Amino acid sequence: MLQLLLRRLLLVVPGFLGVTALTFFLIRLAPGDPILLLAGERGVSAERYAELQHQFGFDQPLLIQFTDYLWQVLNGNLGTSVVTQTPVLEEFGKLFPATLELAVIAMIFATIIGIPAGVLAAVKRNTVIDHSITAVSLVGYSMPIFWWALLLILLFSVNLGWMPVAGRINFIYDIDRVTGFMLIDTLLAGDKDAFFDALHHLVLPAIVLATIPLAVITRMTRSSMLEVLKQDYIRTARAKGLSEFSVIFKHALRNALIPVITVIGLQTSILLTGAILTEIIFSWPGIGKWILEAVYRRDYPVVQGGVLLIAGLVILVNTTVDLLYVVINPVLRRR
Amino acid sequence: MKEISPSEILADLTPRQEVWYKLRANRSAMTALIVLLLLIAGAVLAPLIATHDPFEQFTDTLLAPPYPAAESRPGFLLGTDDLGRDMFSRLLYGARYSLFLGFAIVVFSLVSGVMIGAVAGMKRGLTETVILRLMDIMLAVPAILLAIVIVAILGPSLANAALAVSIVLLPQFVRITRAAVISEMNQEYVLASQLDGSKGRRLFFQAILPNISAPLIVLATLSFSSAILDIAALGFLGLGAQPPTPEWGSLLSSSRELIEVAPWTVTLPGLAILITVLASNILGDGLRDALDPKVEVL
Repeated sequence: MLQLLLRRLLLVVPGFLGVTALTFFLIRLAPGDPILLLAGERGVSAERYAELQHQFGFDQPLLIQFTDYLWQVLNGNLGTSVVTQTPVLEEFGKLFPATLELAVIAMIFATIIGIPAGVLAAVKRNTVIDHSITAVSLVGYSMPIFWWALLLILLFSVNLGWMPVAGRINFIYDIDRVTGFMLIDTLLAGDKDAFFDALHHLVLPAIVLATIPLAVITRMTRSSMLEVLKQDYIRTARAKGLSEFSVIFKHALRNALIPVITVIGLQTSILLTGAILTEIIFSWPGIGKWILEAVYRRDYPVVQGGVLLIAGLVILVNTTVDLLYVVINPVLRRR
Repeated sequence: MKEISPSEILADLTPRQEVWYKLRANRSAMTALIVLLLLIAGAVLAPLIATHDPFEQFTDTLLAPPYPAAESRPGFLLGTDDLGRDMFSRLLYGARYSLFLGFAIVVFSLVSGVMIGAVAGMKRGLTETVILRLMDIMLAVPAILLAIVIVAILGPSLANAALAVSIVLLPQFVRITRAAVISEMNQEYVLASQLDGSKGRRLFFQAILPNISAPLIVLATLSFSSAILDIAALGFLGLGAQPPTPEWGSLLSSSRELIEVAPWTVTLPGLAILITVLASNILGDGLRDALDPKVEVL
């Protein structure tokens, strides 16, 4: 098992290297000279141009530029935003908790509804319950979430007035930033009203972001449960006279969850994609909105660094899921 | 009289007839197929069916609600937008963009993905490792994000958005093809074909490809829905089709501000996207069951 784990860990290296190369060379493909872009409409003299070119290392061969960049990245220097003049890593650190908070709440939501719904559909196979759950999850799976977000805003914020339209918290609350997670910071500040206001702001974006993972988890749990329920050991458990509850939750679900956990882990990429759309619609100050705005403003260091960080995150989570899979799956463990 | 069991019927059918037989028995897949065919027909025949020019602004009928509302205006079945353009005609023309682009994107990713995957699966060794690592890297960047970056570099336009989405969808085709090719390479018929002197391109196209088409067809159908969703998402973010193009995603983004005064301008384009995506997902699932592909499609 150890060998398998180590080999999987080693694969991370070319992954990171590749993503770094991808972001580096993709940005180089962008039209327009970065120095002229920086200088703006005022333009720049020929001498100053050469000086800047030297300063940024643009006069070096591409490969040297890349190794320099790689070295900078390894030292935690991801460049500085052209617009705000703040280091990219610092901006990321400031905004990431907002995205993480939203993603975690969405994932909890998707899991605590998705798994029971999938189990229910599998146990009540081919009944109205199963058909409704399957149909709803198919719709959820096909949902353009940017539209779904607008529909929810239309119903709950515009028509019913139950939910706030945008942001993380009402501006009347002044909460000290400790962890960056609004729910935790408001609790630390001991402000109950602010906590509920933050929670209130979180509901709609979390539902929107949870929609696709919820559908995927439900479908996966259902098919995995159906597979497990066919097994001999389930028949044995029933023959032993165990209660149906015990058969389903102790014997079947535990085995059925192995592929489901993998799928939950692999949702990271989908969650981050969804976060971009969700954050834009709900003006949620997270990394998705940050990166998209950087794209609109042609703030290339932010785009480059941001994509690198997000891709690194996806690789990290996927690797962890793979490792966990080896650990929880007895068949792979024995090897 | 002897009863005929379904398995006996299947035994007499050619593989293609068998798939059709199974698919026809699947009521939801058939409904999805009909819906898709109707959408395609609507898109193709848009100039004949559309009640108005999708770009014409009827300044005396701004924001007319769809039927049946008291303020509906005759001739404007699904109402008008803030510039007085007919929603029905715009949606119909929008189907041309979404369906045609979805189709073009899938064809591009399918063809190039199969080529690259076949090379990886047949050459093995270093070529394979390099290709696979490259695909892993592409998969590590969330699809929409990769598309956003590509569009940011190439500049926002419908063509660039389509190119970005094709690149995003490519890795899955490569991986599926490679896995399928490797498992087929061990089959006896491939050996027989090799003994017959065929190798390289000929071996792949004549012997292997027909045998690995099932998972590719399923993946292509499911990718069609991803392509439509991604194109719409890019359009919505202002990185795809530009106004006044009636592409569904950009229709949504331009009517966002109208959500309170004219909710139909928001609900209808989204509904069109949902129906199309849902239909192709259902058809994809149905095809997967009917084809029962040897290689699992994730």
